[in-house]
Amino acid sequence: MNGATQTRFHGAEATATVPDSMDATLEQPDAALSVSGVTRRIAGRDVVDQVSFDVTDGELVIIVGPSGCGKSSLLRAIAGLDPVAAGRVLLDGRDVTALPPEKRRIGLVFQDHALFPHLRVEQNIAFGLSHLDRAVRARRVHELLELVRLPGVAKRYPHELSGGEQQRIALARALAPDPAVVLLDEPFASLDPSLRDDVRTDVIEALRLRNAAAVLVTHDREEALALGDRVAVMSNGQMLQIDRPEEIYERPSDRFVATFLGEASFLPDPDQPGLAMMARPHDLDLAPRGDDVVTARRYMGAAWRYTVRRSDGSLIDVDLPGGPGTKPLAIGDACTVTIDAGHPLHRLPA
Amino acid sequence: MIQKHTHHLLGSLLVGALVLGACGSDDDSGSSDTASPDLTSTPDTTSTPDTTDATDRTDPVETTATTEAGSTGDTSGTITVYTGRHYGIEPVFEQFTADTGIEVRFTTGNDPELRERLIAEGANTPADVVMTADAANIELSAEAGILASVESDVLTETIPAELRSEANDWFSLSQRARVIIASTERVDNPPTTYAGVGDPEWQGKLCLRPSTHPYTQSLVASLIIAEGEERATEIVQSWVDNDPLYINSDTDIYNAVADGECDIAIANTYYLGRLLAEDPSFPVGIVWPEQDGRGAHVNVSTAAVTANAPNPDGALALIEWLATDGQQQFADANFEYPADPDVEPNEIVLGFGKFTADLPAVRQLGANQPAAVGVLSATGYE
Amino acid sequence: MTSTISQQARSWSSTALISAIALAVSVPVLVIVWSIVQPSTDVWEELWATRLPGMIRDTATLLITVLVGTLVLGTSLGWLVTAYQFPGRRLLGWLLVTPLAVPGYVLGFVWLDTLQEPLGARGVRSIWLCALVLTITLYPYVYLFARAAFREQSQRSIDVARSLGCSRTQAFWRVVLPMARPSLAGGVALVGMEVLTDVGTVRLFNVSTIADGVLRVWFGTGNRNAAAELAVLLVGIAIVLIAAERLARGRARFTQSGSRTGLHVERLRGGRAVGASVIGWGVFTLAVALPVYRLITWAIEARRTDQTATVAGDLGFHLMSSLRVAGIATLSCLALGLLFVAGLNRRHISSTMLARLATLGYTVPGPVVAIGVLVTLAAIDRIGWLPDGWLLVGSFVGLIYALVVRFLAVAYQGIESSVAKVSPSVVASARTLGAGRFRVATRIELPLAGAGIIAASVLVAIDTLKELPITLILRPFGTETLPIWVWQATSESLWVQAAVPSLAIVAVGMVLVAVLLWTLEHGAETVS
Repeated sequence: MNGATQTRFHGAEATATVPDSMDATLEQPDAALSVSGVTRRIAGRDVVDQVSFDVTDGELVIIVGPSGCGKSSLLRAIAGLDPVAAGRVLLDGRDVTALPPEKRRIGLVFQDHALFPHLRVEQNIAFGLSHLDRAVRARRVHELLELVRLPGVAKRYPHELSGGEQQRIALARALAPDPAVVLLDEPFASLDPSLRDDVRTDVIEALRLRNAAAVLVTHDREEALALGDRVAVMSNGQMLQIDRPEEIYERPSDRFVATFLGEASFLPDPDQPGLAMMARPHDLDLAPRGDDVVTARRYMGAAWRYTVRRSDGSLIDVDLPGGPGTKPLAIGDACTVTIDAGHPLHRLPA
Repeated sequence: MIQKHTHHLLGSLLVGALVLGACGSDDDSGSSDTASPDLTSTPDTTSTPDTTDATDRTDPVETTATTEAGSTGDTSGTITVYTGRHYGIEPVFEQFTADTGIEVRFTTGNDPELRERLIAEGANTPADVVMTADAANIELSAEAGILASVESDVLTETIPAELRSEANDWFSLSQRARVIIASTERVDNPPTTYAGVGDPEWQGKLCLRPSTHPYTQSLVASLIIAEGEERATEIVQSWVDNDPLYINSDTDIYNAVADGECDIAIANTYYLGRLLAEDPSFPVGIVWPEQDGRGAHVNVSTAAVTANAPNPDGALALIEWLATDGQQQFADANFEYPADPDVEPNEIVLGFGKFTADLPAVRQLGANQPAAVGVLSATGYE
Repeated sequence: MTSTISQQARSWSSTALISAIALAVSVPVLVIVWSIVQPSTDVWEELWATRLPGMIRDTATLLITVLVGTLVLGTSLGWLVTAYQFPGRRLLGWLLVTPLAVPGYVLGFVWLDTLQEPLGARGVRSIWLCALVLTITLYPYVYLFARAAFREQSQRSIDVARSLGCSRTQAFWRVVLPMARPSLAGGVALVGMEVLTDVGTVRLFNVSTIADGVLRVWFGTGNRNAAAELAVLLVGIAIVLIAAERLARGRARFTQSGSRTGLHVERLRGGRAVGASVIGWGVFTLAVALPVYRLITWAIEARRTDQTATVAGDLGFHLMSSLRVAGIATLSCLALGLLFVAGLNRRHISSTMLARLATLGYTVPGPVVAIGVLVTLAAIDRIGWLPDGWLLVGSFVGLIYALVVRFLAVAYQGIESSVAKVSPSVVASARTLGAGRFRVATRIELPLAGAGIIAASVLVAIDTLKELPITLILRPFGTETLPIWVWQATSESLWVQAAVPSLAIVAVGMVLVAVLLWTLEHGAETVS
């Protein structure tokens, strides 16, 4: 357990040192999955464009991006389900680029879980274990059901389970053959919000317990930031940045990454022309009076979010703490936006 | 809401039922609608001189009148015929209509099925006349009590006694002989008796029609009548032991002999009539069997008035016409021998030569048919 | 409280309705089957001693060969055109359904005549050739169902299977095929019934099946009881076949929740693409192109030698009769089938029995159904319930009724299996929203199962279009269908004269197949 955590952090730091140069990503000798320069081309368009990254054992990398950004295509290319036009995929140091999916040792979990409806739960889990003998197989199925905390459902059919249970079984099935890496494509998207947190926790926990390397694709930025050991942002087939959640949130490499992961405004850097300062709403403050005007406000519990029209006509979001005794500004109030971050603002190209 | 939807579905079903009903009633209402613009259902239109034009050909079957129970005695000029003999039958009926002004409406089918229909319909039957291609089937109908005895001097005079039932409830209209046929190229001494067909000489060289066909059944019935069931079984067994090739078509049997698939076979003569009409040099010849004894097995095409005929007078008129004025045309249509010995057969048929026919057996074929089927089963005849 | 009572009332009334339908369409068969109460032991013993063992052997041989043959051919062709891209794939996908349009008896006599030369008259009359002819006319039943099932599957199942160590081929065997099983079983069940009850094709090839034996005994000896007992044997075999599949299915479901992404199509190249094309076109040639070519040459010969005089009425007249009969019979089967599926409470034990009753007519040969209907309708006619002068025997209604008795099973089976594929969770959620059984059926299941329902209707239409024995016995005056014309000619071995009506049947069948395929394609597009 400790070892796993150690490795994870080690991996995170390793890439964090070279955040801006994706091409320079080194193939780590201990990477469970190493993707370098992978390109997937459909009808002349690169839907995955020269993507490189590594995942180490026990690490969960979350790829996030708007729909159509190529994140699912990347996953399929890694799994060997679709051919790559260029690049290499290494699993445990082994080049699997030319291998069909069945030879790669990859676990797959889909949004719709794709359990085989004609097989019982135990048969679903044992599907990839046909090379083992009966007793070993039964033991493995039992272990995995324990792992996903559904020990009593072995004899049931998938349609006799709830959605969350089905997803956990899908994970158990993917983990059963002890894959080099588990790929999860929007695994929680179809779940009821009330269930989602529980299933999410259980799935992540199961992955951790197995010390599995995992890549999870999602469009949900909060999910990405909360769950990932590292988070990668994709857009238009390119992986723009990959880093630890706090790094990528606080030090995005460009405006797309910055705004995709959260609200951000960009102020011209007075010292360095050509750079902009990224201001999250909580990095700003409003001073009474001035040339700026409050145009909208929204109560968010921990804070009030004001939308302010600045004197140059631009709009900017500012969070001010709420709480008993604080008197919120009203729409139409005059004010001045100031920086109150407590740290230097992150600078990125304008 | 739920009920509304039930009704919606029910509604569409009802619409369907109405469509059916409409079609059905179309069919039925025509019976009372004698003033129908349909030219065929005008019974008193006496003989248009020539009715062979293409559109008129469809008329007899298009006649819409159906079934009126209790319309017996109604001598409207239409009669209804169920016929198991269907090859070339229509021009014959057309000629009858032209001669008499009586319209004929007919339906075709297999003899046993038409009999089942007549039995089921009982008193409600629309059929005035039933015609079969086979003696046994008409005899079975007679046994089922669905045929009427008729007194007709015309029929008793023209049709020999052997070719009509004792009760005069059915009459033969034509005969066809089931004979031995042999290749004229490969066979010098064909068998001259049905028993001879079972000679081991013909092992693997024999073609027969399967036992499902009435022709085979009535042939075996004739063997039982002539030789007794035990001997008949021996004969049929000897055929079966020759490992015959069973072909369910007399035409194909002729072709099989011509093509060398077999050297001899048992088949009806009239198919040779058709084949020779196409190819005069067809290399298959006829051997008249049993000429020193009872004569060649003949089966007959028959007609009878049904017991519940709505129009028995019209029915009798048709049968009498078929036995007299229509006799030549009826027999010729199928290269058969006329039932009336005074009427000459077709030229090609005449070319086969004169022969002795096993006429006395004809009446008994029906009674012996179940036994014949038993013999065929017991011997393993396909 | 009141809602419970009204629900019960509704449930009761729909059960009553369904029972009434089931009874109405099963009476004619039961009438025949009833005679088993007084068994005719002597005939039975004689049959045991003579023909019956041979009949059972031939029936079993034919049934097993054709079932395996159609399953293999239909499934593999369905998989070929669904999962692979090769030149002519789209066209072949359509053409491979067209053998449905060629009646078995027509294909039978064309092949018999064509192969007479090379195989000899003896060699050509073999049970194996008969099985081959039946296989290539009947495989489209399996093919259609297989194709529909494969199309509805999700690529993700295959993806997951492959990630778990299956090759593409293994994934087909372990996932794709098992998930398609209910559909394949539906198709195979139809094939089984067609084979068991066929009386036209088997006779051409001298194959003595039980169905043939029923007619042999009945029409040869007039012994209706013995014939009925043989018919009951057929019903028994059919029921065992169906029950076997139901048992094997058990609690498992075959539908996946979630989005249907469809299967990815793999492009075949080089030798494999050529191979795929050759197989597809080969089957089409044997089943359709060759017979149509022979029929056309015969039709030309018939015209040249003026051999057209066997029937009353021209092509148009027969065509209209056929269209009228097939059209109305199809609509009737469809309406009753829908009502039946909609009203059937699948959880209730009686439903199995009712469904079995309603589909009884499909398990006995056409002539047996015809006589059963004849006896039933004649009895009603004698009672005189109908207005004066109206009779059911020999009426259009009577004919349609008989066709419904025979073919309701085809409609029911198609509708039921498409409805079974509608995800139960959709149905369950609709039920939880307070919708009753009929409402769920009409608003949810039927629209979702639409394509399958259209497919079932077209199958009924094609079946009724080709139907001979029932029409022959029960047709009203003025109704002479195309198969009747074929019968008129072929019963006299006048193959040449049978060419024109046979071609007309094939042509109408082709149109129906085209309609079917167009609707299926169109339906698939609007869904996705």
